Amino acid sequence: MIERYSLPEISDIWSLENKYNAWLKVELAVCSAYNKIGKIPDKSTENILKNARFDVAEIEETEKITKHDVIAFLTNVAKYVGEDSRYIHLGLTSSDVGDTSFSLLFRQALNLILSKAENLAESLMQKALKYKHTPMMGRTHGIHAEPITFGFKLLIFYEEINRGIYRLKKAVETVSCGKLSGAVGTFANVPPEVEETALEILDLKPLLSNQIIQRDIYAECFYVLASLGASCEKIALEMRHLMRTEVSEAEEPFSAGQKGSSAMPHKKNPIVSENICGLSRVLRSNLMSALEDIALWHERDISHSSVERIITPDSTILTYYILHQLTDLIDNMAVNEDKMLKNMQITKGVIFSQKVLLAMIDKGMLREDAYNIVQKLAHQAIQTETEFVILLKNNADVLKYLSEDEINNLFNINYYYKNIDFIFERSLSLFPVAPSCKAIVKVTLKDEVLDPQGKAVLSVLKSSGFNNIEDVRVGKHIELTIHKEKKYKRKEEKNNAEGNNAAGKIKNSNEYDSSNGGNNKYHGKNSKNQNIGELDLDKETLSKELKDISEKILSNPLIENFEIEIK
Amino acid sequence: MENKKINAGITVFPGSNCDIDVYYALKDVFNLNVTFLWHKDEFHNFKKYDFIVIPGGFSYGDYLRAGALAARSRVMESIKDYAGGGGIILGICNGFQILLESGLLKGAMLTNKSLKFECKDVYIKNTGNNNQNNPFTCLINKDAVLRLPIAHHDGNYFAEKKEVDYLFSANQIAFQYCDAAGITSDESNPNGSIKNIGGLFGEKFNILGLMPHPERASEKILGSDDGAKIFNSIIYYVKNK
Repeated sequence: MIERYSLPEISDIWSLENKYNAWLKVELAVCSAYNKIGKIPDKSTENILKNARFDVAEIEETEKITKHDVIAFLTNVAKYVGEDSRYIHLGLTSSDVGDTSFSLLFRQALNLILSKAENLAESLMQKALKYKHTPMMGRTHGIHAEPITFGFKLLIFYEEINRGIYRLKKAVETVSCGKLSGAVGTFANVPPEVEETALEILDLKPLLSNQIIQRDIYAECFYVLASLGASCEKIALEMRHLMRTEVSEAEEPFSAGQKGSSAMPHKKNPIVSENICGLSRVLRSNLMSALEDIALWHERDISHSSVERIITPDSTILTYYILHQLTDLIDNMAVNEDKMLKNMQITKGVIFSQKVLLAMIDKGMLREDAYNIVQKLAHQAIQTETEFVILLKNNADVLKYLSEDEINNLFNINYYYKNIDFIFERSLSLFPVAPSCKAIVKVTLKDEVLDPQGKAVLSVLKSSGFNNIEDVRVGKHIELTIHKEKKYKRKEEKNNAEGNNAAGKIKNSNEYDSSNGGNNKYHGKNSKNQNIGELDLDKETLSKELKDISEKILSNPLIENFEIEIK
Repeated sequence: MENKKINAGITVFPGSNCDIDVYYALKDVFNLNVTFLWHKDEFHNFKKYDFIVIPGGFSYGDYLRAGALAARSRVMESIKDYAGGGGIILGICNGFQILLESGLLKGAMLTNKSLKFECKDVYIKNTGNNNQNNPFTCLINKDAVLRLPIAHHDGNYFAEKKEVDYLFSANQIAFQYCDAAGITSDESNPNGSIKNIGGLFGEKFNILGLMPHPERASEKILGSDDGAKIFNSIIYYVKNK
């Protein structure tokens, strides 16, 4: 990917160094697996694990001669390991290492994208809540339809990005597979136990394979990226429409010193949105190539490899970049609430036409007749730029069914917003904003410290007749809500890079459910899907942190004790 | 050295309410050069301040524990460094609580034994016996009794017995609550403090935590000017050090 769109944290994943790192990880896992079945002596295994390393520049030099990257890599590692290197790569084919490590790298990239997508979802929800009650025109076919709120529009984006997050989590699970089954996958020269153990070390699942991992696995991931990109494109496209001069309801951030056009100094263009729309096209094209990689000759040909070398870094880097740009756009966009209101008024109140129609039918007019009258007056209102309500009040046929007061009452915008709270509540319960867990810290005075409050309560209890109470101690109950995903997932991601991958820590929804309270019906129904790929809470780290907070701030260890409970 | 050349700093936290009283006393009564130190700001020019007062009040509304949150503020990080370099610090009332919470003084404050906010004049006795060597009581005779006002809800000083014994042996107990005749007893203890402790030095005697308010008794017109003895001591010490 060209540098312009490459953020370092994700392009580093596709560096040569990180690729060789992943290869080495796979080779070492296989050595450990052979050691377990007694095929490699303990001492040699120890030596290999300790000394195996590589030098990227040296591998490049060797590759010029071998014209084969895996062989060049193995030659280089052998240089550092010495004689025991004969145990490395036993019975494997290049694709065993190449594909298994490819899964590791792809997973690493998807996890990084996942954290960016979560940031975007959070930004969208924050803005949706901010503009929950900001009226704006709903448009179908580009034409005024009925009123919505800007927050409602953003809420739809929020749910959609959350579906993208769900697909990403599934993709992480899908891509967490490897194969160490030899040249055509029949375990001819490598025992199945080795595959099993090595993949377990790498936190991958085995997959029935010929020479390679079947490409539908990766195509699925490319679909998830293309689809997420398309959702981002949809949001960006909306921004472009809202920023059009005639609409002017929202605007991209425009920084000091920024220039819109070399020719026209007045210009502020939706360049970020246009950029996102463009890059999303590339994600879709790459998906096409990924789908074409599924069909290969017999037990494998190598036509997929060149494609993947390009599209995998490109699609992951671009998706990450798109999410990054869009999050910044949402966080910093300018919203013109006045213009939103003004634009609603340019159609002279005809947006209430359905309400008028229904009211007239309700009062006994035939639907056909009512429709004709309302349509005629609505079109007239726009053509003559006269308020629709006035035309209605001047029409004898209308007045036969509706009084002036009744007509006035129909033009009430709040009618359209009566379910906005319900809509938000439902969304929030389907996709809780910040999955979090609770910790409770109980702080009590130490036994040897006099507790005058407790004494006072005790005396009241006694005078109220509760004579069997011997002592009362009053303490503090402090509840901490901890943002689970944001705070503790990064550690997991770091582990991924080192090989302790997430798959082993993926868990079912039960615990996550309870932390979210199960406080409404929607949550229960959907929680299972949502939580696929949910990363486990790092309780050890959390406990340490909570202990630290409790000792240093929440309690005074001189006079108080504390207890921590994580829920 | 003129008083004007003596520079005093006063910390200000959200909820400090004696900052202006201390400012008035130091600037208008003692004629010093006084600066406020905002809780969000660090300071590094330690030489600029001859001494710093952490005034009374209810920093952060006394939430969690009195002084607990202020003790974790940015200005307190600088104050800790300032103290480490021997800087003179007087913590009054909430300031005393903050000094305890920040670990600059030993011990902790509990709720008054009466469970009431105690607001009255009390007597305290100069217990420390190395008066000449510390900035706060160098002009006050040993066992001299001062009449100063208190106004607090959590002034019930506590430390483990072993710690209290050590503090006494190290002469770090500065003042004890007593009666007009200087006798310490439960009756003359307004808040239940262990051993009637009302004022405490740091181990290098450059820090004093004091529950009563000397700034509210710095002029005769206020009913007592016994508090002036403490400020005069500091001024004398700064001039002669």
